[in-house]
Amino acid sequence: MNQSRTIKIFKYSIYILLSVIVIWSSNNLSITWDRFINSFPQIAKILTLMFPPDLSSEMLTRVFIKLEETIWIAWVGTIIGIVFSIPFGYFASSNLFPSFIWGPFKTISVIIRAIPELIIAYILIPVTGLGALTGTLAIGIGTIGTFGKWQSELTEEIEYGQREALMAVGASSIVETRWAVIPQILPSLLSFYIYRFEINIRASAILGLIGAGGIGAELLGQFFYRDYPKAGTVVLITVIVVIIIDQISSKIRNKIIEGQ
Amino acid sequence: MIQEKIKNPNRTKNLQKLGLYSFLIIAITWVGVIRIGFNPRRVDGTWENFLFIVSKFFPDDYFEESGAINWALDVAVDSFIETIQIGLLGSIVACIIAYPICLMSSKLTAPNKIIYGSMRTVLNVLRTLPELFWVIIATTALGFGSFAGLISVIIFITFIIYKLFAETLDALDPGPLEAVRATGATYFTSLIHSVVKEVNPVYFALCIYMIELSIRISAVIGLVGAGGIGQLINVERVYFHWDNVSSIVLAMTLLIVALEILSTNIRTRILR
Repeated sequence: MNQSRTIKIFKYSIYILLSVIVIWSSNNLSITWDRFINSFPQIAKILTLMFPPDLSSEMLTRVFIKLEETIWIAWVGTIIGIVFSIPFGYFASSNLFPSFIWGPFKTISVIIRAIPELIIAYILIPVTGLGALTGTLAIGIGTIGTFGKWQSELTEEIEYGQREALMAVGASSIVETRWAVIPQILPSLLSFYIYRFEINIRASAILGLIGAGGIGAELLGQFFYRDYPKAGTVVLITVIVVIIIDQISSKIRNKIIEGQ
Repeated sequence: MIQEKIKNPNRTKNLQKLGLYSFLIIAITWVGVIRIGFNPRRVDGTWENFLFIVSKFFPDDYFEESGAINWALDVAVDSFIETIQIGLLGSIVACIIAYPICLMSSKLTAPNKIIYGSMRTVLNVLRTLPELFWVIIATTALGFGSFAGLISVIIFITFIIYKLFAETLDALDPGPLEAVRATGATYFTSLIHSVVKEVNPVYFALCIYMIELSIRISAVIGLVGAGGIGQLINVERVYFHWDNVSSIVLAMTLLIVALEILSTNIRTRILR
């Protein structure tokens, strides 16, 4: 009885808090109900303007060249992330190393993960210039943080029994890692890598918006000139390619998880 | 006594496979590295650039009275509040909108097959668009400013919730729903008394995560002109005030790390 009453009070206070947030923010952002309701039809109108997309071969080749660049950015960025995150994740696992080693590594990977890739690219542009290289480095750096965190979390969840068995026969820590840690984390880690590649394709598609290579620049340009059919081509081809890659990678992931 | 070494009968075959895969991956990566324009001439002088930019990022007066930290405390606070408002409002509205959409697009809870099929197809196609594409579409339709950012955050968060939550709904045990339906309850009553009660804690935890994610997204949408802190970064970069940019990025990192820690704590409490 008493407990259910506290839960009720808690619930109502959350509702009140939420409505206060809504009123406060919508006042500050000058949002009215009219504007809000009318906005979705306006967006739908833009989408319908794009609808018969410009499918001339000239436009298609342009889009495909840019999209190819986007996919390469995602691929090389993912590889950079994998290569650098393996030692990172290894040293950041709290069950393999004492706290003064995993502490700093974990902190660094959390901080890298917190900075959005777009901001990393924005900072990198004055260093490496405009173009695909900047985008690749930004994706790579952002991916290191994520992979490091995932790998260390997977390593922390492994069963202790297998490591104990190897310790009992007097194995060195390298042998222990090879035969007790890697076999347990490898399948999930590989599927994570492929999943992240999917995410990276989307991330690299938007990097072009600030001039770091890829399809985003094309989209921004077409919208800038209000050339909606051509923008429609960009959106359509991007959606198709992303769906195809998603399908392929989800098949590979299922295969890995099931064990070949 | 010499112990005989136990050999894996598939050893050579496995090694061949491993070699083939790693060769393929290295070859593809090599092509990619050339394609993205990584060559020595291209990266010549990068290190000097880097040192120069770092010295611009953190000048000597960084912590002083007229420095960037004080500037950020004075000026950037308003933009930060705007970003947080866009994030909070966007995720709250998206959480309200997405709940019925998810119920309609799950196999278990859809009212009929036509709605289920059409919702799934439309959502799966629109979901693949990256978030900044929505921001561009919204800024084109509604003009630059925080309103377009809010609408695009709402749209994008709705799709993410659909992706995460529809899978949860599909994996539910159909038993309770069938039991309530067998008593002759209407569609809505049967849902309210079985599925909704079961998934509400999960959905609430998801909403907390969405608040975190939408504040993260709303921090970057300003870079293409949709309000918030990103717009301020854009302006400061155009005037080459690199120290101000770095102070904003530092503050943003702190904000996101704090949010992540907070939301992880709340979510584990809810689900326990």
